[in-house]
Amino acid sequence: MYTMRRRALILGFLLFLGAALIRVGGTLAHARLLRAEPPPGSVVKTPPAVVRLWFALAPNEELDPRRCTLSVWDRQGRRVDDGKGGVDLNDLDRRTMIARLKPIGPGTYTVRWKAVTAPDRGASQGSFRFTVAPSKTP
Amino acid sequence: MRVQTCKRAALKRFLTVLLVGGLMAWASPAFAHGILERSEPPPNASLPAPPKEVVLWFNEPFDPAFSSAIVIDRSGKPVSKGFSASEERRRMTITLDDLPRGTYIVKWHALWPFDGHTTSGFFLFAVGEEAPAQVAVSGAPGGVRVLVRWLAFASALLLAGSQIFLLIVLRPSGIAPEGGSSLRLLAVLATIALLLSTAAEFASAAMGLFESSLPNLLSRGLIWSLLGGTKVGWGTLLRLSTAALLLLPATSNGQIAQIAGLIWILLFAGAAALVGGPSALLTAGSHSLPLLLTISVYLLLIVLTVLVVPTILGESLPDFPWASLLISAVLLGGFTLSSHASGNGLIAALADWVHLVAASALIGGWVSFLFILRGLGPADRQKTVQAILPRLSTLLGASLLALVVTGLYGTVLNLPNVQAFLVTPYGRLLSLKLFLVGILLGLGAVNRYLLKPRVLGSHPGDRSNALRWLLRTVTNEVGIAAFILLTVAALTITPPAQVRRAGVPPEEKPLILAGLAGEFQVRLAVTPARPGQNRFEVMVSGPGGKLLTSQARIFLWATKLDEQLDPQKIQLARQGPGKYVAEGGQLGLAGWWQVEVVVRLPGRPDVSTTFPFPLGELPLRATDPAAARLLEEATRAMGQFRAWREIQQIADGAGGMVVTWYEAQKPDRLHYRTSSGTEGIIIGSTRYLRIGNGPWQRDTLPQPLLLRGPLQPYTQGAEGIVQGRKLPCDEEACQVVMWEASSASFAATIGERSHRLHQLLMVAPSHYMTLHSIAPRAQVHISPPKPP
Repeated sequence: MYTMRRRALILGFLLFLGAALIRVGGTLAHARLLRAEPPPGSVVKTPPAVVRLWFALAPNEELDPRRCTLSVWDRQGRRVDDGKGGVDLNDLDRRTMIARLKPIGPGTYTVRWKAVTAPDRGASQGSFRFTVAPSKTP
Repeated sequence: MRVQTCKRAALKRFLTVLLVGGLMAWASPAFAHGILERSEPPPNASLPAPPKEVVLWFNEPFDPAFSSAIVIDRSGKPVSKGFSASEERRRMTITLDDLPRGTYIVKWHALWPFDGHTTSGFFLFAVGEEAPAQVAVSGAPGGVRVLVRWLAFASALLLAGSQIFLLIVLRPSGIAPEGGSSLRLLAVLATIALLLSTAAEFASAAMGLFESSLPNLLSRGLIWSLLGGTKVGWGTLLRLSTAALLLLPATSNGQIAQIAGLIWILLFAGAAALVGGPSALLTAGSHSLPLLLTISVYLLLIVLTVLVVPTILGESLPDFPWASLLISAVLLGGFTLSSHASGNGLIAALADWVHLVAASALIGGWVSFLFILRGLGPADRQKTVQAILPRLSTLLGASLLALVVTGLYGTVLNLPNVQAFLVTPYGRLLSLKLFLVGILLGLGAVNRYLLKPRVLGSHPGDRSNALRWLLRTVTNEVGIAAFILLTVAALTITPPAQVRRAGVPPEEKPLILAGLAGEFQVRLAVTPARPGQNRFEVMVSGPGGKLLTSQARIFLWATKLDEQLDPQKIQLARQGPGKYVAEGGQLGLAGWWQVEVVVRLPGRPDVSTTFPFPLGELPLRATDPAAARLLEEATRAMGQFRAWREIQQIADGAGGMVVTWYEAQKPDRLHYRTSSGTEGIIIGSTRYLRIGNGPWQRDTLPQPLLLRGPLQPYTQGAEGIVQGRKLPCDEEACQVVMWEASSASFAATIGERSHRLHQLLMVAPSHYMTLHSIAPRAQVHISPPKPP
């Protein structure tokens, strides 16, 4: 009987844990953030000079440079990028965004992006944070 | 002990229900957009006889109230009799009258209830001699694709079949240990073949779909969206993950890990189905962190359970012998997911899946049988055969029956009439397959009714003789089965229609439209510029006429102005300095098109130029009052401005062009410069002209200039005013209005709210005009030139 009960326990346990996975939801967006540099939620040692975002898009779609925006803000709500952030025109696929940063110190920064696709004009937006760690040498 | 057996049985039933339920949940995933999966006849097919109907299969259910399809001939006249959507809303059927020889166009549009989006498309097919040429197809050639598919099929069937054999034949016979290890080798080999062929097949599908090379796809991240966002990708993921699970050893620990892994895969699939695909799951923003955390905790706990629990309790874990069988069943489900059957509803998919399971039991049974007898001495051989043959025979008989029943069902479903058997390539392949199946049935009967009784009989000499014969027929059956699989592999890949590359005869005269895109001179040559297959050639040169040598991307947007079809993007391939080429059927329909040539260079915004592009005859239609009203509103709204700027580009269709920049100030002042270097100022009836920086010449016009507005000169005497498609403009939605006036055809893009003219296209003999950048309210002051 022991084996039986244990077997049931193991199975039940696995099921319970797995069921937690189903409790996720989300919306369908046109452009989805694939990854970013610095990565969302990361702690970096040296202050980055640029923030770069990669997006996933349908095959015929691309980011519309005239309608996409990308900005980086510090804790006090000051903008720390050069104000020209948006679609990286060097990417001929039009799937990345880039913002050049002013010299920044340690602290947590918020990256805000808005993506509008061409030719469908599907819009999506999001934000994430990254942290520049305090340097050890004074 | 009886209670325990009972409970065990109940538990197993519960688990089975759970797993099958998970599989069903997966079978109806939600995708962002529906796509046309295949059609009969396929795009660009040339049919020897006129088809009675055209059938379109979609990957997702569409909304039948807002979806339809028709067939038209080259002149745009509908030739279809009726349209119907299938019950499960994934199939459109267009019935046809008897079509004479010629080229026909299938047009469809569909609304997808899941996201409310609409998509549309069209393709060409021909009846009789006149074949439309094929759109360039890349990807692996047909033969290689069929072989890869065959390998994937064979290895999956062997893998699943060996598990079925192990569980149903070998274990109850009590000779599992020795035979088991031999089978394990077979399973591992099959798994490796399956992993490789599945990866290769997916890569070739991706290259074919995006018409791009693999490194390019990888670097652009496209392959991941294909893997995570399409049914092909899901099927591939399912195959890869289940095959990996089957590589786990068949110990108790391994079996628990297998079940845990299977549940995990199904839960992942369920979660992914909720958010719209595995890739959406992994990039669902704020959800991804807790999700990944749960996944990792879950995996960690599985490992702990499997490794730690037995050592603490000092007891071995219970057996789950069914684990690998269940995984095999799911593995075959992955094939069903990517087959034609999954587009025909749940029952068809289920039948397809049963068909696969039966085929794997049959083929896996034969091969496993040969495999475990391999290397055994005559005495051992006899002993093993005596032990397993009765059960094996029952299994194979049941499998054959299931195969024939489900196979006939699928045949009826995929072939609407008997004629299709002989006419279509699909039908011919199917006939070949049925013929081979007939031979198999014959051999099976010989085995069952002639050889089996003698192998199991009491006469020793007879026995070994019969066994030799049995092994020989089974080997032959495996060979025939491999051949049948080859036909199946060819069947599941879109049937290669009899496509002939008609190409473009050299004497065809191209339409050459020249224009300015930013500072670049662009020449677009389209041959033959008729509805159907066309060759597009773009020459780009910079200032001073130097051909573009730097890295650039050139593409065209072809937009049909007189109906709401999705714009077609035509990517051109570089063929030399400044020269870019493409060929395709994107301009397949007669009507009012505009073609925009886009020049994209690294580090700078796109520049483009738009040409009017009439295809075929533009028939004069009756004026639509709503369109006439909108045109009137626009003429009046534009007429209210005191001054404006506009850019006018006129191409002659043979490579010549002139661009003129205008500044206009009411009532009678005009200043213009042309791309050829002429500058003019008109005030009333006085005209000043100069070439380059030369001296101003003054003359007098026969009629004084009188400006009423940018649109006014073109709408006088307009007839046949009709509405076209809607287009997005800068800040508002726009409506295209088309009309005829003084033997020219016009298409204006007018803002629905502001009634502003955003763009005006005109076509007249040797005149292809584009008027844009119309900037009313511009600060314009025109005065006579100052004397030097």
